[in-house]
Amino acid sequence: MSAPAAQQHGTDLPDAARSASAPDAAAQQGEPGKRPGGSPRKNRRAARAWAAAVVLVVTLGAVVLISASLGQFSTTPQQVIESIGRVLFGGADPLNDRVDATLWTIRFPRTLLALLVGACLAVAGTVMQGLFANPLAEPSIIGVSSGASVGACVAIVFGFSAAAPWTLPAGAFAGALVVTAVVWALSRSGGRAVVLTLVLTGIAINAVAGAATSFLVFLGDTSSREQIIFWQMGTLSNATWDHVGLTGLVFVLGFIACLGVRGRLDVLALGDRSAAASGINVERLRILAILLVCVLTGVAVAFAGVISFVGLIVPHTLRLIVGPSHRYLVPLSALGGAVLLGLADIGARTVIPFADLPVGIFTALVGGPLFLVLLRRTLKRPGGAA
Amino acid sequence: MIETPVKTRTALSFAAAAAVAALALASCATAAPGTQAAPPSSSTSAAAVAPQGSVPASGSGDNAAGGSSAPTVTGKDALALKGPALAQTVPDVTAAVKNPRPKLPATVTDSTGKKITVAKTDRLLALDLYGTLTDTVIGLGLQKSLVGRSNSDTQAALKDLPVVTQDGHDLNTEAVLNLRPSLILTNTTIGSEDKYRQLESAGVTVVRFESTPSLDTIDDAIDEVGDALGLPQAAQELADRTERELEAAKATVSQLKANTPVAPRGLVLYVRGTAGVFFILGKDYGAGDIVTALGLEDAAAKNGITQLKPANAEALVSLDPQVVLAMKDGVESTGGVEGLIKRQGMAATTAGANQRIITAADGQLLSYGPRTPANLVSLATAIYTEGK
Repeated sequence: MSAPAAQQHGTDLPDAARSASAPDAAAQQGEPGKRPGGSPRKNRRAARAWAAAVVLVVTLGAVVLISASLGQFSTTPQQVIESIGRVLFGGADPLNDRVDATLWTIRFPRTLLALLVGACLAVAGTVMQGLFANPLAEPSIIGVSSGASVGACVAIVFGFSAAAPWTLPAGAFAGALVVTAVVWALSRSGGRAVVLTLVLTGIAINAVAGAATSFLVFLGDTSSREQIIFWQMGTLSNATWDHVGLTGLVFVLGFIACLGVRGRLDVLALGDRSAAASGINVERLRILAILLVCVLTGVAVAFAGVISFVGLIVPHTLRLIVGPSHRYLVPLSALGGAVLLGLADIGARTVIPFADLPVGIFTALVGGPLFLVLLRRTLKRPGGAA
Repeated sequence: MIETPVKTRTALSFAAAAAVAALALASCATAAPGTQAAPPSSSTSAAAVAPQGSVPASGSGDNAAGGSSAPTVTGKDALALKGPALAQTVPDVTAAVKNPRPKLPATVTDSTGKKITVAKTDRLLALDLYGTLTDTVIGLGLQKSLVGRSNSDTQAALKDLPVVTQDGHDLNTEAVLNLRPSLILTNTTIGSEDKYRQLESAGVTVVRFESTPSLDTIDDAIDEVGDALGLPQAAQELADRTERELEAAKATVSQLKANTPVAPRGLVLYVRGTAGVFFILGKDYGAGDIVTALGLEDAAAKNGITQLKPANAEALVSLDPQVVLAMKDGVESTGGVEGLIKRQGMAATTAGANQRIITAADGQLLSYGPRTPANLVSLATAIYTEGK
C-alpha cells in the first residue's frame, strides 16, 4: 500500500524530469565516446529510437512469417506461401482445400489477432504508466481486467456464450467499461481525480469485482468454471476474422488518439501543477487517456482473455532502451507488444501436441528474462534504473 | 503492491475454480495409464473368478450377465463387508453389426436444433468426457474410422490413436484438423463452442448431442448417434442389445444383493490430489442412476444434492455413507484408500470406518452407454462380494 503514496511524491520528479537532470545514462551506455549534452543527446535518442523501430519491424516481420508457417497442422513454408498466393491472388475459395481452410480460418486470423492484441495491451500500458507517472501502473489498476472478468463470467456462467459466442467478448468489454467508469466516478472529488485516490479506489473496486467473479465461478457448472479459468489466463485460440476486424479497428483508432496525446503525457510527467502551468488541461487529458486505456485493453481482453505482463513489460523494456519520452515510447510499444505476443502465441499453440497453453505463461517466459537482462544492465551504470 | 488486488482476485477465483478444472480434466485425463493395461487382462481374469460374478463383455452374448447361463452368483451382506474393493475394468464394446454400410448422406437435427447433413463418416472423432460416444461408434462397427480419441477413451482397441485433449479442457483446433476428420461427434463435455465453430468454419461437419447421464436415455443416445452416422438399423440393434444386457445386469445386481437386508447408503465422491478437489457428486453429474441401479440408497439425492457439492467434513458425516464409490486414479492421487479416509470427516462415516471404498476405472464409473451393463455388474460384484 505504500507504493502509491511513495509514487505520489515521486510525481514531482518523474522519469522525464529525472533523466533530464541526471547524466543521460542510456546514451552513455550505447555510445560512451560522445559527450553528454543537450541537442546531440536528443539526436542520439532519436537515432536509438529509429534503430529500435527498424529492429522491431524486422523482428515483427520474422514473427509473422514464423507464426504463419508453424502450427500443429503440419504445413511447409512453401505450402503457406502457395496458399496465400492461391487465396489472395488466385481468388480460390479456402474451403475447397483442407490446407487453405486451416490456414485461412484458423492460423492467419490467430496470428493477426496476437499482433493486434499485443499492440493494444502494450500501448495501453505505456499510456497508463505515463498517466500515473508510475512504472508499476498497469491497465488492471483502474479495473479494466477485473471488470472484463465479471462481464465474461456472466456470459459464461449463465450460458449466453454457449448459445451465442459473441456475448463473451461483448460482456467482457462492457464489464471493462462499466468498472472503469465506476472507478473514475468514485475517485473524483471537487471535480478532479488525483492519482492516489484513483489507485486506492481501483484497489477497492478490483476487490469487489474479484469477489463478484469468485461468486460467479462458484455458481457455474464444471465446464463453465474451466472456461473461466482458461479465459483468465489468456488465450488467442478462439480467434476469428470478426475478432481481428473489430480489434484492428479499435486499435487503429485508439492508437492514433494515443499518438495525439503522447506529447502531453511527457509534460504531465513534470507533475500536475507544472503541466497545468504549461497550459495543459490535466483533468481532460486524464479522462481521455483513461478512456483510451480502457478501450484498448477492453478490446484486447474481450477477445483474448486476461493476458498479464505485456502492458507492464513492453513499455519498461523500451524505456530502458530509448529513454522515457512518450514520443517514441507510444509507437514503439505497439511494435514491441505485437512482437512479444506474437512470439508468445507461437509457443502457446505449438509446444505441447494437441494442447493450447495459456499465452500468459509465454509472455512472462519471453518477456521476463529479457526484462531482467535490461534491468541488470541499467543497474550497473551510474544513476541506476530510470 | 499495486498489483495486490489483481493477484488476490486471481488467487481467489483460481482456488475456487482450479479444483473444478482439475475435476473435468482429471476425470478424463488420468485414466489412461492405469486402465490401458487393464482391459486385456480383465477378460481373462473375469473368467477366472467367475463364481464371484464375472464381468460380461458387452455383446459377448445377450444373456451373459443374466441369471440362467451364468453360475449362480451369491452376494454377502454388503453391510457386513469391510475393506476396499476394486471393480474390474470392463472390456471394450463389441460391434453390433459386422461391416456396417452407412447410408449417406444422412440428415439429422442436432441438440441445438440445427439441421446437419453428414456426407462422410470415413474419418471420425467422438468426443465426450465419459467415452460413451466412442463406445457407441465402436458398437456400431465404425471403430476403424476413428482417427483420434479423447483422454476418456481408454478402450484397449484405441490405445494407439492420438489423444486430442492433452490439456483436458479444450481442443487445439489446428491439431485436430491435422487428423483430417470429416465428422466430429460431441456432447460438448469436451471442447468449447468456439472451437467447434472454428472446426465447422474449416469445413468439418460437427454433430452435437445432448449429454444426459441417465440409464433411461441410453437407447435414445445410441439411436441419435446411429442416425448421424447413417446407421439407424445398426443403432437399433445396439440399443436393443444394450437394453437386454441392462435388464440382465439389473437381475444380476438384485441377485448379488439378495443377502443384503437393507439398501446401503451409497455416495459417489470425486477426489483428486490432496488439496481442495473433493466433491460429492449428485444426479446431474451421473451419480444418481448408477447408485440406484446398484441397489444402493442415493444418499446425495436424499439430502437434496443433485449437483456437485464440496465434500466438507460435516456434510460427509451427516450423509454417513455405508458404501463410497470413487474413481480409481482419483483415489490413488489422494494417497490411496488410506489417504481418502484421512480426509476430514471420512473416518467418522460408516464407509470410512469399514474402509468400504469401491473404486472403478475413471472413465467407467459414471459412463452411460453400451458399456453400462457390464460396468453395473462389475461394480455390484465389488460391492456385494468379498473379492479376492
